[in-house]
Amino acid sequence: MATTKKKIVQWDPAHVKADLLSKYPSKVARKRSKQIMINEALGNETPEITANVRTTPGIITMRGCTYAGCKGVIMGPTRDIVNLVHGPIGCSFYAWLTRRNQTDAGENGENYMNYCFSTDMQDSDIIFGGEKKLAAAIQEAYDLFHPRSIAVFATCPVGLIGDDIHTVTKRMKEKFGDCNVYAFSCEGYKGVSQSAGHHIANNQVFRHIVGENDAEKPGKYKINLLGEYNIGGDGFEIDRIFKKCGITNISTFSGNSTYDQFASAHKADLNAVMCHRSINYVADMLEVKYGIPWIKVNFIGADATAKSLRKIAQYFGDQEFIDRVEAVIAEEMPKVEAARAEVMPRTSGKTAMMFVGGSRAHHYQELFKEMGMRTISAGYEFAHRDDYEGRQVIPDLKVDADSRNIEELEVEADATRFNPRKSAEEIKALEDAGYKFKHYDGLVPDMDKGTLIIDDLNQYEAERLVELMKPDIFCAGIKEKYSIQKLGVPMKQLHSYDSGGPYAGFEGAINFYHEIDRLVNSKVWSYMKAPWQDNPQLSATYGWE
Amino acid sequence: MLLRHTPKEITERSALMINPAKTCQPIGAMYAALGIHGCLPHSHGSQGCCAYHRSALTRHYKEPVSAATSSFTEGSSVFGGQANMLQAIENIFAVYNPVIIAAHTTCLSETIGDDLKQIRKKALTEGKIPEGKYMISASTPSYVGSHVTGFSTMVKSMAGLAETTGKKNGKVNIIPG
Ligand code: SF4
Ligand code: SF4
Repeated sequence: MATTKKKIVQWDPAHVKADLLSKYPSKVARKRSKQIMINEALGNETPEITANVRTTPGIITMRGCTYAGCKGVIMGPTRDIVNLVHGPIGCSFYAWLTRRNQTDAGENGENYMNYCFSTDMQDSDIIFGGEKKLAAAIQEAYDLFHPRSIAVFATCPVGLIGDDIHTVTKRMKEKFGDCNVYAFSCEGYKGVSQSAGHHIANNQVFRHIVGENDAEKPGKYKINLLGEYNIGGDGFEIDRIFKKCGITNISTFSGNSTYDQFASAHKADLNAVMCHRSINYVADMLEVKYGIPWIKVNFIGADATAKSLRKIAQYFGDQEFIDRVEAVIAEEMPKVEAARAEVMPRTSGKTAMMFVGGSRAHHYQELFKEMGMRTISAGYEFAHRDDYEGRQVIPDLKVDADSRNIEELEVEADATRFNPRKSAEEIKALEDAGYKFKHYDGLVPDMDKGTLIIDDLNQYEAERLVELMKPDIFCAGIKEKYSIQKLGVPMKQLHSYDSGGPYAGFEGAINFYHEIDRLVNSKVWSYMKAPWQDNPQLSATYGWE
Repeated sequence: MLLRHTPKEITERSALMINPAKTCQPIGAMYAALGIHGCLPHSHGSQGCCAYHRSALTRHYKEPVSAATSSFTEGSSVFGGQANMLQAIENIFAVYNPVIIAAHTTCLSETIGDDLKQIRKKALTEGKIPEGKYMISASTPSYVGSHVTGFSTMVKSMAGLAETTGKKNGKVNIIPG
């Protein structure tokens, strides 16, 4: 066993916070101070964090745009929809196979994910409007591929020049008859982050696709898995476990998904929500319109996976099913425990930081905890207050100018297809037994006291945090990767998993333990010393001097 | 296998671009700016473009790529991005303290007609660009040309910074494209 020298790093959260803020002009400092929260009990109140607000211009943020959230995150993983980006070439180019969401093209092999489609707008289109070109591009895509469906995404200039993409797509849909065409007004300037794009995407999926296929689906225990994007094959591992348990996954929103899965989503009897941020409103809408209840689950972490499976089994309530789920857990866990015991002596006591997404900064703490590692600072890139503090704050959320321009769909019970899957008494009986529907406590309660929770972390703060708190591993995205590694700290991408994965479910947990063990115990980082760490003042002369 | 839907016959297309071998101007401008010591590239538009350019360059070079953005919101897209840019200049010099900011436009700021040269003048008169610090700018709408155009436009702005002394010193500049 490798002997690890225990690093004792002392830091005081108040001092770290003050240090982070000290560099900012006072206006920026005031704003950031509300987004940097020390997790401590204040009498009876929990401290409040500011989230889902604008990024300050000039601050090097980790965030992307609404289009990225809509096209990249939500619609990207669906294989049989032709995703056509209406705009200049760049936006489509950068969202081309850059998210590592995997898919299994299945028997018919329909898969457009590895194509990049764009209208490549030119200056004449910007001046005279791009509607004609868009209609022609949709026609060409249809003639070439004859897909089930074509989705159109607006980028910034499109909104400004006023192209009416919804009318164009409607006309094309009517013209084709056998191809559903619809559009997303997901211009990058809307909202304050990717989060607005998730919302815009999901609204349109709900409006244009969900409920299109009324054919009965086989299976006894039918669920939808919402907010799972099959990065690095996570969805494959979860589906493997579902299959073993006898759970039928009608649709995943949207990892490894197809058009037909969305169209049949209303046929499930339970919605299991993974990423609360990107999709909780779809769960709400499915409940109001079709009567399907929802629960929060988490398949990141082996213990969390077991807990989530039990929660699903308890909902359906059949003893036979409950026993089968228990048998699967009993069969899977020994391997997991063996792997855990193997890495534990090397990983326990180590520390981690993670700044990603709208749920992973929370979910991955489970996996680290299973390896005896502590999370000393974490935060989301684009989450809202309810993802930090829990759903009880939703009624108090302020609607500001940036969230007001994101449409909220008004849904009501479907006249013929609304069917409450559980009666009020059944729901009550479950709740009395401690079962929680529509419940999410957020990240704050799961973090230790005295840790730092930081929203919309930026590059300067990330580097400073690493210098001050010296974590054993830092998790974020590709943009942060190399600047952190140059500080001598291993960095794991939790958006795309670098080249690894799956990390979900039981097999995924084993993968993760081994990978993190390798990273935090690799000697290579201690050799990473930049010249200025020994000699802060470099002196040199030019060759000709 | 990867692109299994690509038909065997070649059809003429006039509107649909598939799997382009080019990308947009600003990434070229950002890339050129990264070559200057002590320079922070800045993307004047919404933050998505900047995030995409940084990710694409980082993925390719496996090196950190820093660049700031004006983080436009819907309001700035309607009323113009001058206020965002001025605020960005102030924050950039306070937090990152580069010697020079090399700003480029994006489709968004070009479409609304923001003029970076004029914004720079305003920043200068308001004292937002400290002594001994510089800002250059390039106009890089992506609906014209490609990343290659963006690179040369930014390099041209750099050259604009040079002042002639009137004396020859026997040296040449080599500007690779
Ligand atoms: S909007 Fe323009 S500048 Fe931005 S990524 Fe798209 S093509 Fe490039
Ligand atoms: S132009 Fe707009 S939609 Fe495209 S990448 Fe930039 S911010 Fe996003």
